[in-house]
Amino acid sequence: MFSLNIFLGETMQAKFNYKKMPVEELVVLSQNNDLKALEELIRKVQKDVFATLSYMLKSNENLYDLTQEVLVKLAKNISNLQNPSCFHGWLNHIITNAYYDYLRKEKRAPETVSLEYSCPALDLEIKIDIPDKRGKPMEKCITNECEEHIKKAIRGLPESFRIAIVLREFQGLSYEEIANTTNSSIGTVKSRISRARIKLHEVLKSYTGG
Amino acid sequence: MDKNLTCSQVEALINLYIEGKLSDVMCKCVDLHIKKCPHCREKIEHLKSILSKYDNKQNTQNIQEEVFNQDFINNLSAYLDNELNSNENIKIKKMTISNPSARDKLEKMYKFKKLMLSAYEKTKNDYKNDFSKMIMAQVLEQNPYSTDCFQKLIILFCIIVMCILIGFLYLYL
Repeated sequence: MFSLNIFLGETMQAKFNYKKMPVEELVVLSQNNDLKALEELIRKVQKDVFATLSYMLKSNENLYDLTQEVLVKLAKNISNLQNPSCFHGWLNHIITNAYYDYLRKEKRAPETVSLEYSCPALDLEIKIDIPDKRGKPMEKCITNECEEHIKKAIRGLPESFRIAIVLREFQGLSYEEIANTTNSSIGTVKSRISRARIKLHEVLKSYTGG
Repeated sequence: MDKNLTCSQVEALINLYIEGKLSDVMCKCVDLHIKKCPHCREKIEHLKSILSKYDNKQNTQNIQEEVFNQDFINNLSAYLDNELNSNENIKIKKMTISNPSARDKLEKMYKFKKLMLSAYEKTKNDYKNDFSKMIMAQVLEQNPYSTDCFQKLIILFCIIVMCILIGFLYLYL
């Protein structure tokens, strides 16, 4: 099917509706040198990459540069991803590594160092929490001020807590994946996430009613 | 005051003596009695040993309660993330059903999770840039010799045609 697609060139490619394709399909097509699929994949994930980095970094400085850096790495290394179903975890590995590299350049020692990412078993569930946008009272009243407070609170966390809570809450990675990415144990990840929640709750009591 | 106490009197005072709540005079009277009376002395020693064991048990219980609370909170947080095994899941469920403050804690964690996700979605929605074309241009620029497969096929086709033409020329010339 793919060789037929390549033979007919752009005519065939024009019939694919890339915008409606799920991410997994775009990943597979990108790995088969479909440049339009790769472009659409980048378009789909860039907001997530930006938002995740914006909570990992302590300020907005270099945020856009780092976002682009991650997207370039994604584009250049997509063929190296052996198991497309692990795309989400693999992308977060790139994001976290980019963040650690940025810290090293800024001459700040990261608290943890990640090793090479090894893809977990195929039956690992990658949970992505996508909230229902209809009728969520909390979302209706999220103001810029509220968002800034939450961002400030998260940025105020110790680094290891911050990385763990961002990868869990925003990227929906499992504890095992977070442990893999941050080179720590599942028990450590569990404790960091719990303590991060306690700290954030103390800082943001007024938003949750005490 | 007669300093010689009877065994019954000492028995009545034994708890206060051990807790140090007797007056100095009475304490001395009890001391005098237990020097002479092995039965009362044994009773006091036995009671002192029971009390010291009870104190240790209280301390370890307090320490265990603190560990339990931290452990419980970690498990509650993991329960929120569906990361507990079935046994731990059941324990947490039972705890939240029977204990209103545990239930309250869990509800606050859910509320907070929703708030964080809302903030994240807002950050995403505020992002208006589109780097996709720029990234693709960068990637292709850095690989000047990479063409798509269709172009490679055209080049290969031209090479084959050239070879055939050269072959014909060689045969007929």
